[in-house]
Amino acid sequence: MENEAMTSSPSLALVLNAHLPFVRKPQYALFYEERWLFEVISETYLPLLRMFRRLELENIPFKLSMVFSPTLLAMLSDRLLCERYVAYLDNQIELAQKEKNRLAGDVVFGPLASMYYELYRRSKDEFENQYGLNIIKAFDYFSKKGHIELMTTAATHAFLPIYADIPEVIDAQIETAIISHRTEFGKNPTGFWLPQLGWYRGLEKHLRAYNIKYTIVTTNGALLGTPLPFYGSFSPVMTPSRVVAFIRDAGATKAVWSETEGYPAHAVYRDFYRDIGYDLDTAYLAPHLSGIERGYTGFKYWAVTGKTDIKRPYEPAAAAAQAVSHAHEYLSDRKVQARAASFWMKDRPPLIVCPYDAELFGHWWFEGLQFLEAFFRAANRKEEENSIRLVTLSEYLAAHPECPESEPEFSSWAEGGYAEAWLDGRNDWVPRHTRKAAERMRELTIRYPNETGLRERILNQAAREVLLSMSSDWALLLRSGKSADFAARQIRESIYNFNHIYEMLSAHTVETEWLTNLEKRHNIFPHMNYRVFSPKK
Amino acid sequence: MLSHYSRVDVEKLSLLSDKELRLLAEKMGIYVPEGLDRLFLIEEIIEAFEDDTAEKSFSHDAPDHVEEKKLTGTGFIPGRLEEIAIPDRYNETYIVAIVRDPLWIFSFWDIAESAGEKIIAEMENIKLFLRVCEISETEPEFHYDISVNFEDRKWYINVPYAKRSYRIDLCMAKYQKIKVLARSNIVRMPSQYMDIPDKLPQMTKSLLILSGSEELHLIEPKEENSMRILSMDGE
Repeated sequence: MENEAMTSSPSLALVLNAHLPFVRKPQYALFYEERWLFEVISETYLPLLRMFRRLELENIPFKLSMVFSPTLLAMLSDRLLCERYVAYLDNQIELAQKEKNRLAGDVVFGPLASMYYELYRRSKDEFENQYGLNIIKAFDYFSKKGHIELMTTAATHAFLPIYADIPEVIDAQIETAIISHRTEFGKNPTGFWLPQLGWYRGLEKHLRAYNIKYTIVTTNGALLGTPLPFYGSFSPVMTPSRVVAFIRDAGATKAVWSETEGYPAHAVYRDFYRDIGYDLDTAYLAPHLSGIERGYTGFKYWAVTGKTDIKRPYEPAAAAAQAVSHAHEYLSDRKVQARAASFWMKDRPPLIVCPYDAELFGHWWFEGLQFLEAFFRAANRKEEENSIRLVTLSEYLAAHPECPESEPEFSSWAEGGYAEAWLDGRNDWVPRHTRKAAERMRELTIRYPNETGLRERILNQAAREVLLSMSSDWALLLRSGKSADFAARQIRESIYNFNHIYEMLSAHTVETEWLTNLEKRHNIFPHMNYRVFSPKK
Repeated sequence: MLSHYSRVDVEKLSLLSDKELRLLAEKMGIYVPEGLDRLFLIEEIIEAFEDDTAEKSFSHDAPDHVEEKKLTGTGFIPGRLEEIAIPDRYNETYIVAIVRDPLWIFSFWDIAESAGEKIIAEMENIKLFLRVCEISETEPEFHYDISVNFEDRKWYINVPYAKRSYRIDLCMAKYQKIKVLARSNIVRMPSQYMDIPDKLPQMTKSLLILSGSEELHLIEPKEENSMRILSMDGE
C-alpha cells in the first residue's frame, strides 16, 4: 500500500541544508563570531528537534532530507564550543532577566522579554540535560526512525565550479566530507548537497567515484541541460555518470526565499534587524556582546511592519497565526502545481523538490519553525482527491529508479545563477591564493606519498588549512561587505598557515610548538588524510 | 551600480568588432537598428548592464542574501584581530581562466620576477596582451586580443558566444614577434537559453513552462512566442 501510494501520488521533498563555516577561537576568552553557531543552535536546531519530538509523539509521519555540513558537524561535536554555548546561554538568560526587570509592567514588551527568557532557559535545559551537549545524536535518532534522511556536502562548503580544472580539490572536498559523515553517523552518505548548488559538467564523475547516488541542482541548471529534462523540474534526471540530479522547484523557492515577496517579508513577522544590541545603552549591553560594542543580541521586539524605520511591536500570537496561514497557502500552491503537472505526466507522479538553508527557519525567519510544523501537520491530513506525499529524496529514487537522461548546465543558486557571486571585484583575489595552495598541496602529496609521524601530522594540517581557505561563505561575506574583514582574515589565516607549512617542508624544518598550537586551534577533521589531494591515476 | 560589471567600460567594449558588439547586444535583448553608430551601441550595452545589475540588487531574492543573515557580525574593529599578511604573488608565470557566466571569463595571471624584469627593461618595445582563443574541433581557431598593462593581474573577459570553449594566452609582442608567456586552461561557457528542438513533445513544453522557464528568462526572446503559442494549443 505504501509503495503503491509512492508510485501514484504527487510527492514533495523538503531538503534543509544545515551549515555554518568553521569558526573556533580558543585563544580568545570570548569571540563574537562563535555566536553564529550559538544563535542557530538556539533558534533553529533545538527548535527543529522540539518540533520533531512533538510530531513523533502525535504520530505525524513527517519526512525530510537534511544536510549536515562537515564544518557544522565539527563544531557541534567540539567540546570547547559546546561548553562555550552553555556559557553563552547563561549570559543570554542573565540578559533576559535584566530585560524582564527593565520592562516589568510594560504590557507590550514585558511579555517579549519573558519569551526570550523562556527560549534560552529551555535551550539550556535541553542542551545540557536532554541531549548531554550532543545534538548530532538527536538528529541521528530521527534518521534511524526514518523521518530524516541525512546527506553530506563538500568538506568546507567550497563553491566547486571555480576548482573544476583541479580535480584533486573536488576529490579532497568530497572524500573528506564522506569520512566526516561516516565518523558522526556511522555510515556513508548516498546524497551530496552541492554547496550553493554549484554544479558544472563533469562534477558527476567525481560524485560517482565516491558512490554518491544523487544530488540537487537549480531549476536554471536543469532547464538549460542537454537534452531538455523530459518532465521539466518535476522529475530528477540521470546524468551521464549515472548520478541522479534532483531539481529545485522554482515556485517553492520564491515563496520562501524572496526577501521582498517571500513569506518572511510579511509585516507581522519578527524583524531580524531591529535588535536591542543597536538600540540600548552600550554600558548596559557590554557584558553580553562578547567584547564588541554593538552587535546582535538576539533580543528583537519589533515586527517587520514594512519599508519604514517606524516599526510596530512584535506580537507573537499574530505572527504564529500568520505562519500557519502561510503554511497552508504554501501547501495549497504546491498541490496546484502538482495537479497541473500531473495533467501532463501520465507515467509517473510529479515530484516537487524544496531545498532551503536550514537556518532560514527560526534564525532569520523567526516563525519559520511554526511554518514548518503547520506544513507537516497540514500535509498529513488525508484528502482522497488532492493529496501530496512527503518523501525523502532516496525514497523517491527507490520508487522511481529510472529517470530521463539529461546533463545539467553549469549553475548555482546565488544571484545571477552562475559564478557571479564568487567572482566579483570584492572577492576575486581569493581563488588566486586558494588554487595556488591546492596546487602546492597536490605537489606535496607527490613529494611525500607515504609519510608517518611528525611529517604526516604537518601534511595533514596543511590539508586542513587548504580546505578551510576554500569556504564559499567567506567570499560571499567579502562581496556583501558584512563581516568582510573577518572573512578576509579567515582566508588569509589559512593561506598563511599553509604557506608556512609549505616553506617548512621545503626547508626540511618543523616548528613543533607552532604546529601543535595550530592543531589545537584548527582541530577540524581529526581523521584528515592529506593524501586526499593526491592525483588520481 | 555597476558593481558586477565594473570592468565593462567603453575602452574594453571598444576592443570588440562591430559584429561582436551586435552579437552581444542581441544576446542581451537590445534592439539594434540598422546603421546604429558604434558609440551609441556601446552606450546601450553599458546601460543594459546597469539596468540588469540594478534589478538584481533590488530583488535581493537569491539565497546568498539570506545566507549572509546567519553570518552577520561585526564591522571592522581596529586591533581586535592581529593582522596577517600573505604574499600578493608567487613568483611564477601562469594564467588561469574561470567561467563567471555565459559571456564572461574571469582571468588572472602573473609573471615571474626574472621574466618581469626583462619586460620592464624593454618596456618601450614590448606590448602585453591577452589572446582570447576560441577552441573548436571543427572550425579554424578564432581569436582576438585585449591589451593589458604590465601592472594588470586580472581581467574580466567578455566572450562573443555562450556554449563555446575558450583559452586565454598571456602574450608578449616585441616588434613583430609574439611570444606566449603562459597558456590558460580551456573553459567551456555555459548556455544562457534552453536548447529547444523542433520536435519537442507538447508534454515537455508544458512542463518546462510550469517549471518556470518563462519567469527565469531561459527562453531566447525569439523562441518565447512559439513556446507560448504551442503551449496554449496543447491545453
